[in-house]
Amino acid sequence: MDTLNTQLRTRITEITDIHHNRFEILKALDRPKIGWVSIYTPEEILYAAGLIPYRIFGETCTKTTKASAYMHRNICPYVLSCLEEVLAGKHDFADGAVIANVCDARRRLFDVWKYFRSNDFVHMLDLPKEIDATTKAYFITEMQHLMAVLEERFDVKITDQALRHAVSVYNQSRELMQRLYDLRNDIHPPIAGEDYMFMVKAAMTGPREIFNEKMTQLVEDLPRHGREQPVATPRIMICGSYFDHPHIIRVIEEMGGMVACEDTSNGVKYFEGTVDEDKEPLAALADYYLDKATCAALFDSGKRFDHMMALIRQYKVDAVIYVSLKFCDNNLIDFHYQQKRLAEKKIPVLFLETERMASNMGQIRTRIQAFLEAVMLW
Amino acid sequence: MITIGIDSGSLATKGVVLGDDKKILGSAIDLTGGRSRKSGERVYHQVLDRAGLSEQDVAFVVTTGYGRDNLPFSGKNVTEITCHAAGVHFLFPDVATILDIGGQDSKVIRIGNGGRVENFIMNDKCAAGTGRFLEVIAKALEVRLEDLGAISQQTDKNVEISSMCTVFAETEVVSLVAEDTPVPEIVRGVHNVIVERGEILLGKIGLVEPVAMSGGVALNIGVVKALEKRLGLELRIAENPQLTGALGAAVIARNLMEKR
Repeated sequence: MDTLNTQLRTRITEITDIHHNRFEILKALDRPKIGWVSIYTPEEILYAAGLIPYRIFGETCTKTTKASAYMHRNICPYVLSCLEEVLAGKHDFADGAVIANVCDARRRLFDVWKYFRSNDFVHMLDLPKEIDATTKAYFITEMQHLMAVLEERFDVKITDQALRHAVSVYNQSRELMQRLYDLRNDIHPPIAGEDYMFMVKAAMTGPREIFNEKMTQLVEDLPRHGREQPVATPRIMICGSYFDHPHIIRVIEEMGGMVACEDTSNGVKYFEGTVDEDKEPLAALADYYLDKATCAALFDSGKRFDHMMALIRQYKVDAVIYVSLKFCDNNLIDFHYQQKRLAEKKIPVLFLETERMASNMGQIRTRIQAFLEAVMLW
Repeated sequence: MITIGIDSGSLATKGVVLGDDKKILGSAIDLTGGRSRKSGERVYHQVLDRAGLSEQDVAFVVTTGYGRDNLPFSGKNVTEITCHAAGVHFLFPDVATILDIGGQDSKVIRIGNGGRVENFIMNDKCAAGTGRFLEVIAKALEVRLEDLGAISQQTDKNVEISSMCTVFAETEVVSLVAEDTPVPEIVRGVHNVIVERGEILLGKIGLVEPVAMSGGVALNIGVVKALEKRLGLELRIAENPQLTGALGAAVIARNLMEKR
């Protein structure tokens, strides 16, 4: 078992290292790199243009002194830390960014970036908020426009064949991640909750082929590890906006619980579903990205609730911790609606409002512990 | 069966020894100071001495408060939220809502069946509306913290303190002192800031009567009276509200042993 565990540990570390060493890995690649900040960015198009899409995490900037000079402090801390990284030159290796029009904060990121670093290639991709046939058609024209801009900027031709290939490569990642989460659900492999988060982040970091290869090995190895840990309870689903606090996951685990899934962009939301490979690629991409409109910035909160309930059933969730970044108006408003609906279903919910880095861990810890004590009914 | 609850709070460390027939055999309160582990151990031995017991007599110890996971004699650590609910429920079984204002936190807890926590809310990482806030203001006014309540009863006029932030409120108080505003009026204004914060928290959770108040600030008669007036109800307050968390911890320790 020990050798198996060591092997497994190595496999996991190889994947999470893609995230941890992302700057060195990306810099070493000779294809152009394009940053993105929302999971509603159709990465397939960027990939088909011969670029390496990667998520900007803003993770390296714990203080946002430069960005705070350009933006007011009451703006999304994720956006603020992304801007800080950009202004600090951490993304100078990249060839630009595509910013999906998800929320006000991301639009302000686009504005400030474009204005103060006018030589950078920054493209705004509009994203409809009400989803129907008309807005899907509009989103297709937005994607066509993005393709035209990329073709000119990078002197490439995005062929139908390249798009179809990109779709299949990205679908492969999605299916692998879904298999990983199914295993997490059924056999509870000896993997820490934060590793799942870093593995999702690794998927976002590119290079995609390497991720797919390593993840294939991991999901093939995992079933051999069986039920190696007692199933932890309560099983918690983390919901909300941008979430990447390993401390919060650790506190849940120290209390004897586990994170069953994350209804967040660095979690299930990123890899759920697949793009229909039998359809015309752009139409299939529009369907995929707009049908998974479960972010609080998008309008249909009923759909978001149904999505939460589906995850609660699929991952046998006992309780929900809803984490919103400070000043995320979309989630702060959404929470009250979701809380009411979850209470009707008798699902306990804890609300946490945090900064980018969980600086007030003492209080957050007390809240989580008290919540779990109440859930465990003693 | 003898159980002990130790509440290692941000300002004070509290201990309670609970015996059979729900009798409190001993209790102690001491300042936490810079080293919560040391003050925790001191209070633990103090309560044992006061109850005339030795460590061997104790069935189980539950610790709570900010320093709860840093005490060597702890059998289990439980949050102050769960402990306050258990402590208040032990003293007042019909209470449905607790307003707890401690040294660093203010919180509202809704209690369900059997003293179980149904819902709770805590203040943000900010000292406004907490015991620490009163401590800062007492220092600025050069009066003793424990005298604030009595001082506030010397007048029925209040001045408006508009700032919710401890640091800004202190500045505001200093300006009022410079303008020769009578100290009792300032103190009443300061108490109203605490009352407002409490009212906001109660509003967020939804107030269900009867309401109990716990935590060190419940010792301040000025805050209690102002709260009762504003909410239009009578607050249930333990004889020693600072001990509620430690008492709850001892009650939980007992429940845990009975379950085994």
